[in-house]
Amino acid sequence: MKSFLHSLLLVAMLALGSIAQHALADQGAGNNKAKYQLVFHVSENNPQQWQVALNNALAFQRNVGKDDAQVEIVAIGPGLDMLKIDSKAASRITQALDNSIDVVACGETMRATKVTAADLIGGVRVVPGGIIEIADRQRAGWVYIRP
Amino acid sequence: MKQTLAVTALLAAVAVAGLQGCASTPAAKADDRHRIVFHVTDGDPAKWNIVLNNAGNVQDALGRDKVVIEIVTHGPGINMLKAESTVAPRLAQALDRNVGLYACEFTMRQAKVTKADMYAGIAYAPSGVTRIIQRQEEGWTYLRP
Repeated sequence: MKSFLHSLLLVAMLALGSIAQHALADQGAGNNKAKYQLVFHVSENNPQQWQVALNNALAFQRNVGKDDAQVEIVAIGPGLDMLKIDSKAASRITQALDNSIDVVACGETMRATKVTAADLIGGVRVVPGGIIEIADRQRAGWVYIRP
Repeated sequence: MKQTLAVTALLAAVAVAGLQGCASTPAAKADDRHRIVFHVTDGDPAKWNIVLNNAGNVQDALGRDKVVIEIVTHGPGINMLKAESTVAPRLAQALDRNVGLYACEFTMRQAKVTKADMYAGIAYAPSGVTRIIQRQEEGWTYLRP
């Protein structure tokens, strides 16, 4: 009976231990995450629209503090044009990249419009699909902003 | 008696631990598919081509059985879901691929449009905005192309 109790105790302790471990792991992940995570979606190829998106992103970062803001801008469809080296928004996009804003190009659009990574502003990140990138971010709890 | 109590408490602890493990697993599995709601208010074929391309690309990339897609439209957007719509061939393609196309009945009443005017096979939402709100509350990804 005693040994039965001992083994039961052991099982219970192991079970409780694993719960505690999960709880700690969750807390750890929470600590590494910025307080705000924003994903901007831009499909337009006009510089004004980009000006608005970049102003929004930079102002937000300034207001909450860089450490508390993780910001990503995803360009899809016609929006991809503005990420090209000769884009009218190039200097502002470089400024955003210098401020740790993640600027992301849709790989599906690149394939469809025959654009390669060499055509894009240095520092722009290419993902397989822009929509999937945004969907994954939303699933992970990021806030979706459509300027 | 003390021993019985201790055993009961331990059993309860083990049971709770087991339940916690079980509770999270099936929920995660049921949630496995991506769920995406596209919100379209523009009556512009170029915008619709982008939306329909987006939906098709997501299906191709993730696999059709791994993603549920709805395109909810209200306001001027419902014109593109009419029978004589310029994007009609693409609507047929989307319906073939199980993409849900929803027209807002509130907009239809306002615009004096009936179901007889609409492209066959589309679905209807009593209120487009309300459907989008509900989908977001259910955890769907929201996209505004």
